[in-house]
Amino acid sequence: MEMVSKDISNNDALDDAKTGAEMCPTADNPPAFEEYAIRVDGISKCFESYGYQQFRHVPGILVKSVKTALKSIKPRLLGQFIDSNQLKGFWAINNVTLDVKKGEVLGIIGRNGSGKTTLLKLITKVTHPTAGRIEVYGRISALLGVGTGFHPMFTGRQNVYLGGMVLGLTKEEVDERFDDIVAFSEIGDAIDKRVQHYSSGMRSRLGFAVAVQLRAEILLLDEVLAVGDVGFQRKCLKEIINMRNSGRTILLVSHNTNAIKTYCDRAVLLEEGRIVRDGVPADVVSYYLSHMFDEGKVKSIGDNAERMGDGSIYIKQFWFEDEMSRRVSSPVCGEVVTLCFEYFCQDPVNTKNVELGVALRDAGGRSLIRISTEKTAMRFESVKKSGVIRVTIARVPLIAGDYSFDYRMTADGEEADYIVNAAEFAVAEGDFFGTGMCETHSPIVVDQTWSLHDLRPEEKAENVKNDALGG
Amino acid sequence: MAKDIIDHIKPHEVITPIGSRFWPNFPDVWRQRELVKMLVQKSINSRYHQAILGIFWALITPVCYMVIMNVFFGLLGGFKSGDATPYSLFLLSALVPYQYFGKCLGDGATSIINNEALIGKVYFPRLIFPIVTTLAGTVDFVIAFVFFIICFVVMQQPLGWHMLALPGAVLALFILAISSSVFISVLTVKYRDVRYALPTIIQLMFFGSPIWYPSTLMPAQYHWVWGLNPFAGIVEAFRWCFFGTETVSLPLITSSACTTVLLGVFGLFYFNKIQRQLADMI
Repeated sequence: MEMVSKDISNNDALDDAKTGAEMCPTADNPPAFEEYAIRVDGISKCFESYGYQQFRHVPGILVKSVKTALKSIKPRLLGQFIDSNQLKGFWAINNVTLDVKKGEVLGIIGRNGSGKTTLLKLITKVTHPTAGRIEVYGRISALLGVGTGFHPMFTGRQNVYLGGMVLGLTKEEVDERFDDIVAFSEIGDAIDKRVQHYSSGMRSRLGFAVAVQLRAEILLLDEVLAVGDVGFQRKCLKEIINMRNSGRTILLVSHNTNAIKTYCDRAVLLEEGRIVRDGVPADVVSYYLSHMFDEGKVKSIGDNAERMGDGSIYIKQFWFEDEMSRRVSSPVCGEVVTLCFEYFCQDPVNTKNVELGVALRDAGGRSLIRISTEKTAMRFESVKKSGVIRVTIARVPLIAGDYSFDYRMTADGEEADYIVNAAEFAVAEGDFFGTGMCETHSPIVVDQTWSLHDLRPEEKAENVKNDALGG
Repeated sequence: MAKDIIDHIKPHEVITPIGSRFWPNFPDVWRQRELVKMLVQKSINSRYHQAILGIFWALITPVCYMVIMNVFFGLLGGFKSGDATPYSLFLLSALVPYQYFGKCLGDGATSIINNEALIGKVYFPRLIFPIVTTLAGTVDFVIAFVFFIICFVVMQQPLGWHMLALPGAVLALFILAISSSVFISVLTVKYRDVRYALPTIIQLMFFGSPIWYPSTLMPAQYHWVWGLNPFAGIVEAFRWCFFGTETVSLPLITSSACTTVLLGVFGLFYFNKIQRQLADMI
């Protein structure tokens, strides 16, 4: 069987060779086919539902068991077979065709559930395709999520060897690279502890070290930048650049669109298992940011909370807008955002001096930032029956995460509408400092300027005086 | 020159929905032999981790069974070996393979489920998992089997030419163990019921095989049907090798051998069918 499949692939390769040669002079000028690292041709993946139900009580389990047993036996007894076309499934990947050139850094973006991880799993053979064909030219090292491919019951050392052998290296080859891996992961003596007992940071460090230091030709990284502290993120990004320079092919899945823009040569956007955009990272990312959040942008207010106040004027809906006044589902750290509050006023004639205050809280309920008309000495003297109050924040100073807000609206100093925990929202990861790195340790990010100087003469004099006094 | 180019452009890997149509990809498994070696070592090391008696448990269990059964079946039940062989040795000759087979079935059943952390995240030939548990179990078997041979020699049993067939019997046992492991490893994933049924199946195997009674207890005309229990014939083969029982039941042995081969072929076929869906099912 092995032989047969190899023959087929050879013939195909030869056919491709001919077509490739013919196509060379065209305007697109595709690369010679031997320069491909991965060729994905019309791949699809359908997840069948294997029907695991949850039962609440024992009689339910019994009844359900008998029912399912009868259901599966009956067609067999009657000689009926389930037609695989009738299987209701979920098409995680739907007819994806994608060629990745050798040495290319390809970013894959898309919403959760758009099939990014499934695509990587198909390429690494973890799951089996339903249709299509994938050709891989070179060994693949993959890091699918945090500390994966690790057996929790194995020690770090054993897992390193496991990873190497899965990649097809011999024990000696792993021996050679072992010290580099341990050094890169900064894991020290813990390498002989079971991975079970590792912190998530240690797992991700070791996982990345294994993926990178085993020096496979192709590297698949799924959300590796989402974990670890700043130092580790920096190290990862540096290593990605190193690998790119050494001509390795990298597929990078990330929600960090800035990393995609900065480090990728090309990006594809997946939506519902299809590639909807393929091209220059900056274009794909901006398309993604502006088109992917159409739904869920407008948030209804106070669904689960109690409204206080006389209700003479109140907020109906709330949404965010970006710099270009496009509605977005979440603000991006470091970028312009406008909070828009659509209000409704019962009696516009008698409602004067409207004020609004908003307190942003983190997931733990801690109040982080207050924005208010009061402190900025603003008030809206007269309002119409309905309209929008907008407040713009120049650079969102919050790190990626989940937040909520309270607001209080007054008219002529009388409380009109007050809700604690009015709505929840998420802040998306962004490149606040323009360095591709994200603050993860504190919730607030601020603009900062660093510099190094000699002491000025008057400072010197002052300090000498202080020293003298202190001495 | 042309050949160079073809070698260069040949994909390292081609992934298609069909994959290997009938059999798991054996060359793939062979290529990963170092991994198998490592996993077997790891499995042996961790099995008796923090157990004072360690690897001696491989001996203690069959010996305990032997003593208990000697008392209840032999002394109280009046069962005999059917010839001049001491009943204790008669028991041990079957208990050692039975322990091995039962262990391989039990470990094989959980071999894939226990490794779900790996299966969902990295690829290597899934066939490795049942192979590893079987090989790790084989180490225990070898220890217990050597112990049995020592007992055999110490008790001054006559050595016959039948002994020459012993490698064949051991090989048959190994083939049975590995094919049932392969089969049951995926069957357990597909039908979790197997896990709960398995202890009963192993227990039935104990009563349905001539472990504590001679095969002559069963009317000879039914022996070929009895061979549908593949383990029954293997026990008979072991007995024949050691004791040269004149009453050896050839129908039982041949029938069991056929069942073993069929089980092996079907097991691999079924494994290949299920392994594509493994990552999605777990």
